Formats: sequence, structure tokens, C-alpha cells
Amino acid sequence: MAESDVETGDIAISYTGRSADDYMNQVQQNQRTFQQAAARNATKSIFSTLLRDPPYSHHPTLHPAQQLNFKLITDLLASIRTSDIPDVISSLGPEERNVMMKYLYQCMERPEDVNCAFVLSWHEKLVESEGVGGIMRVMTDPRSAAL
Amino acid sequence: MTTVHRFGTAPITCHSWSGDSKRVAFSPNSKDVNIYESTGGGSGWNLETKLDKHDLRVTGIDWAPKTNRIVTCSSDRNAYVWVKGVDGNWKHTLVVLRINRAATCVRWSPEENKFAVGSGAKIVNICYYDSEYDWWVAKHIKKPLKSTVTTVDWHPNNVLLAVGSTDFKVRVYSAYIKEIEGKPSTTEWGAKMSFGNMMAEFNNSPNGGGWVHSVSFSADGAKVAWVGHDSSVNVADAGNGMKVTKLSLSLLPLLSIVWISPTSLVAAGHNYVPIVFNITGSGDLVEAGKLEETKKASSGTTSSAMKMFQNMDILGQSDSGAGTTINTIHANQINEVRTGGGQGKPDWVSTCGGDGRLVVWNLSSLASKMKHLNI
Repeated sequence: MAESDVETGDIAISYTGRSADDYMNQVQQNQRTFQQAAARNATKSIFSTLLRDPPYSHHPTLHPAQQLNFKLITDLLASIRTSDIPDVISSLGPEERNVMMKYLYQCMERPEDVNCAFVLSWHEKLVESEGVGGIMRVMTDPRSAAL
Repeated sequence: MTTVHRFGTAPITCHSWSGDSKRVAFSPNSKDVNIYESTGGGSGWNLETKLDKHDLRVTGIDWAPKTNRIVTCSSDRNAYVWVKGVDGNWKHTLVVLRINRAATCVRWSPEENKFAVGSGAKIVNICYYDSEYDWWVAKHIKKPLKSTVTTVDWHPNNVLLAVGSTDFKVRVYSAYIKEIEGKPSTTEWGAKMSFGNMMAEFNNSPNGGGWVHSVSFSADGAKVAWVGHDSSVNVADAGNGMKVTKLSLSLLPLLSIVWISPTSLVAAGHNYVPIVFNITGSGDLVEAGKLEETKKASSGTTSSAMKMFQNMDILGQSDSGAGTTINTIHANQINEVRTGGGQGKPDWVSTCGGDGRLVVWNLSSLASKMKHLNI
């Protein structure tokens, strides 16, 4: 189903009902949080904030916010040392781990935008904690393609 | 404890036991239904009959224990009711389902006077016998099914039916047929039970996601459990305000689920081994152990080193083959779990799988042997 085939009026703006501007504000706020944390080398602590309520949507008006958020999450994941990855994962709740797994698979879909090494390290550790069931949940959730 | 019966190499897609548990009817992933009779204890089997009437793959079999009738349904959009004549031969009767897609699952009602057939036509057929014209009448439940029906299970009151579908929902319908039964009394599911009335609807997950593979009513009918493709086990409790408890697993999805007690379930699927789930006092679902001990791949030091280099050379693996050897009784996914024996609380569960094996798991001896198992 190509984007041009579907009347954009038929698709909901977002799964939660929030507007495109609202999500853009959220992403920009998260960017500032990330920049401050990165300056202090404390990006381990902001995972919960940045993984909360991602801009799930199939509507084109949310694409800019989604692009920015994708870049932000990949920068966040790349900023953590491999040895710290298990600590970060264990500090997250099941919903946040689910969002992270969805972003990892988004990274795999766009290898040209992303440094693949950190994707595989994160994926390995996340599967140790969530199991193959965690992967199934990403594959069966229609929102996984809406990031 | 566990008895393994092998019936060749073809996967067993569905199976059902006779009332006395001496015979089993199953389909080896083909258009045939084989009925085997057990030759006294142990694992000896005689092929008694082949029921060979369907044109395409048989998708569901159910053997009514009291009336000794078998109903089979198939991808050829038909269902047959088989009755054993006095000469010992099974005589078939075609049931006209009026569907234009495959039938996917079939179950006799508790009183065995009607049966439900799910299909890819987004329809559930409720079939009952009309003695005036000597045929089986099929009535359709359509609304609001949006996709293929994968599983059906009856409530003990013989009227309500749980339906799981690939539209990610589980629904409880009334299948009340006024021609053959009296008005049912009110249950926790509601009072209005006209035919086709949807009593309750449950989403497998809030944003849709995960086909429902199997659905099962508890023995008292107040709870309905289902397994979804998002690797989850769910229980909805009508006696507690339709509250749904979901347990997300770290395993591969399960394909079939049954209740073995008011607070325990056994489910099996792509992980090759049946798993027990308990409902705790506070209403939470917890995993209570597998019905089989996980065997570690045995590795003596000398054999391990040689095997490791062999595997590196032949298979390109760097471990001692632990990843590719199958240590479970079933060597392929378990397609169906059935219960049997015992009054009210089953003594055993049987599983049939893609490896052509039918395994009977004796629950009480397994519970005493494996202390970690809480049944």
C-alpha cells in the first residue's frame, strides 16, 4: 500500500491521539535532555524518559518527529559502552524494553543510517533478558512498523 | 509417566480420544483420519480403520465420549459426522456448512447434541441434528467476526461458545438452539442468550497483534483462557468483572491450551514441551514449570573437544553441538493438547506434534517426580 494510494484523511494521526506538534515538542525536549546528559556522560540514566511514548503513527505529518526520534534513540544507544548494556537493560521495565526492541529492528531495516555493531550488541543482550518471546511481540505488534 | 507413541513420520495435525481412551483418531497431515486401537497397556497399536471421505487436509477431529460419534472438518469446506454401525463400520453423514473457505476447527458441545465448526469464511457454524429430515442443520454466527476463526471451545452449560480468531480477538457467543434445548439460566457471562449474541469480546493486545491460536473454558465456565502468537497466555475472568490477566513469555508462541484444574493450565506449542501455568491466589498468572526436565547436552571432556572441532569443520559452529541437538521428547512443534481420564480433574494430557509423535503425560506421576512442578 503506497503512501500515495491512501487518503491521509483516513489514517489516524497517532495511536494515542496526540498531535504531530505535540510529538515534535516531545522529541525536541528529549533531544535537549540527551544533549545535557551526554555532556555529563550520564546517558545511562535517561533511557526511561527517552523510550517512553514514542511517536507511533502511519500518518505522514509525524514523519519529521519520527525521523528525529530515530536519530535520537540511535545516538543514545551508541553512547553506551558494551559493558554497561546489561545494567541499562535491567533498569528498564517491560514496556520500555519492548520499545527498544522495536527500535533495534528499525535500525536493522535502515543499515545505511546506522552503525550496525552496537545494534547487534544491544540485540544480543536484550534477547538474553526478553527471550524469543520479546522478538515475537515486536513482530506481532502493528506499531512496530509505525516508528 | 510419559508414554510416547510413534505413528510414522508425518506430522499429526489433530487428534481425539474415544470415551474409554482405548482408541485414538488422528490425522497425519492428510485428508485421512486414522483410528488406532490400543492393544492392552504399553504402546502397541492396531490400525482399526481409515476414515477416508474428505478431499483435502483434515483440520479438526472431535470424538464425542458419550454418544461415540466422531465429527471431522477439513479444508474442503465440509464436515462429516461419523457413527459406528452395529457391523463395526463407521458410517458418514455430510454436514452442509455453506461456507466458501476451509473449515479450521471443530468441537462437540458438552451434551453432544450439537457441534461448532470454525472456518476461514469468518463464520462459526453451529450444527444440530434435525430428526424430521434426518440431516444436520448448520446455523451461522457471523457478526462481528472480521477474520478466520482458528479455535472454538464450549462452556459447560452447552450454550456458550468461546471463539478465537486471526482478528486478534476472543469472543464469547451464545449458540443457543431453541429447537433442541430449553432456555439456559443466567451465567456470569450475561443473561441475554439469543443465538449469535456476543456476550463478551477480548482483545489479545490493545493495538491488535497476535493471532489467537487456542481458547479454552475452565471447568466451571467462569474463566476463559487463550494463547496468542505474541507469546502470551491470557485468562479472562467473567466472575471478576471480565478482568483479563496476561502473561508475556520469553518463549516461542504456544499453540494449544487446556485447563487441568480450577487454577492450572497446560499449554504447548513451538517450544516442543508442554508448560504448566498456575493462577495464584491474587489472580496472577505464573509459569509453573515444564512437563519435562530440561536436559543439558552431555559433554565429556574428550568427546567435547573432538566434537567441537568436527562441528567447526562440518557445520561451522564453535560449540559442541549443543545448539542443534533436540533434547525434548517432541522433536517438532506440538499442534494440539487434549485432556483425558479422571472425573472433573484430568489425569493425563496428550500432545500431538509435527514429529508424528503422540505423547501421553501422566500428570500425577509427573507432579510427584518433578518437585518444582506445582500442579
